[in-house]
Amino acid sequence: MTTPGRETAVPHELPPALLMPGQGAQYPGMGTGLYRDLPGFAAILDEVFDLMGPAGTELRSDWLAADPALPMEHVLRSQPLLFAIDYALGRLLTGLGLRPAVMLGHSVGELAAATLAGVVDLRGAVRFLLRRVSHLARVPEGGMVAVAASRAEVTPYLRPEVDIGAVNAPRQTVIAGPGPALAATADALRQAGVTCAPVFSLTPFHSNVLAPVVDVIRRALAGTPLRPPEIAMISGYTARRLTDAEAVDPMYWARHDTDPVLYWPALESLLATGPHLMIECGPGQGLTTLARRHPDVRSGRCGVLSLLGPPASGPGGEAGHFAAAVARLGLRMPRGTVEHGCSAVRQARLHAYANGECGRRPVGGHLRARVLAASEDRDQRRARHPHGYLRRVDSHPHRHPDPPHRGRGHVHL
Amino acid sequence: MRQMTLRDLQDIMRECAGEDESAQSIEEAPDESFADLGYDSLALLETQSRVKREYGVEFSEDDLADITTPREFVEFFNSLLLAA
Repeated sequence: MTTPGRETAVPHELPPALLMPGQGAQYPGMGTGLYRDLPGFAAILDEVFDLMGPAGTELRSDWLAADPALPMEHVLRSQPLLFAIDYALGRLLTGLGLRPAVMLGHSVGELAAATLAGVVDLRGAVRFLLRRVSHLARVPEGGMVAVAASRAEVTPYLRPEVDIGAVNAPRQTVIAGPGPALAATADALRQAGVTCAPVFSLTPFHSNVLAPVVDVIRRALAGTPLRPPEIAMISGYTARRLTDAEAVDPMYWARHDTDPVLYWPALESLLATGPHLMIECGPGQGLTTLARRHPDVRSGRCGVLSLLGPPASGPGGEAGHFAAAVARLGLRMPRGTVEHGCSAVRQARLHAYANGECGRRPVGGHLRARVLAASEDRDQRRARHPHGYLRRVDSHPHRHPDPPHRGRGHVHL
Repeated sequence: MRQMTLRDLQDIMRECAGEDESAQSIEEAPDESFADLGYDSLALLETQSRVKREYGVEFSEDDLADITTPREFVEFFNSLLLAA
């Protein structure tokens, strides 16, 4: 009997589908562990940063800094870093021999997927992304709120200027808009007994607030050669297979910033074509966590796998998690990719992970009244899961967010 | 007050996520983390508010900061019921 959704139960002969996360998945330090530990990953990321010019140098140093100048959820940080990490992980996997059957990107993740699929070359994608975010950085501040209800249930509560930003699951809808209108909508939903939590974003992505920049963004792409995808893509905006005509139409890409992301419908389209192994090709495990709710994953027909693991395990756990994922995919870390630049201790640990000797945390807590647990036990548990899974809801979603590494009141998508 | 069972928690979380009755994940794997069972932080916040509403028991989010699995959640909650 299969245990639903367990990474250990992944049937790796299934066709691989890359799920590439977007805004909401970012967290401070994401990918920095793998960047330090895996020179092959670092080389691809450095290529992306170098193509970004001075902005890339600044982006890299802010990303690696303990005290960055801009918060991670700022559009000038989250968007280029999510693109760079999604893309670098995808190229790393294909370099190890993985042949993705299909890709599905969430928000800016779709641009990373398009780059891997050859719709746009890396230089063109980077130039477009930088021009796009420089315009987005000038729109009125706002945000996004995740709502535990269906799109149809949420829609009547939307105040003017607030739009549906994403349909992530049957009962997970993201709304987006300028601060005050977004807060008023969230308050109305809460008064009706609906659970809401802010998403890490200072920009109201996928809302009409961004309509004034759509044409500018379309023009930013106009001079860039676009080609039909060489790898099948499911569009997060039509929830169907991306057509060649859409792929080469600048307007298709420009409208991403105002159109809602239809992640769940797109996931259903993907799985309607047959069972897949879905690989979270980016930071965190938000997309695969949602995918685990799909009946095909619950039943064990499909598998899921994340490459970097949960944000709570921190950058130090990334290389081990990645090596374990690569082993489960039946791929081999090339010589010189892991060993080069690694200490003997780290090499031993990576090999232990790759051989499945460690990597799952022990299960604990049987038949103990949590409320009476000894304080040292609590401390040990906190050390293992520094953020826990349950977080306090921020009652002021429009307020400037706390530093996200505290995790308070925000959801990772 | 009736104690909470894993089945009760499963029914609540399934409703929160909008899943049908074929989703038996929690009873089958009560020691898996919520994330590995497909439940993210929003689903857990929603679960928490439904549990409070249905059982009429108050607890703070901080009380749950260390809870990572369904079994831990049920044990914690039942210990609150006993203490009430």
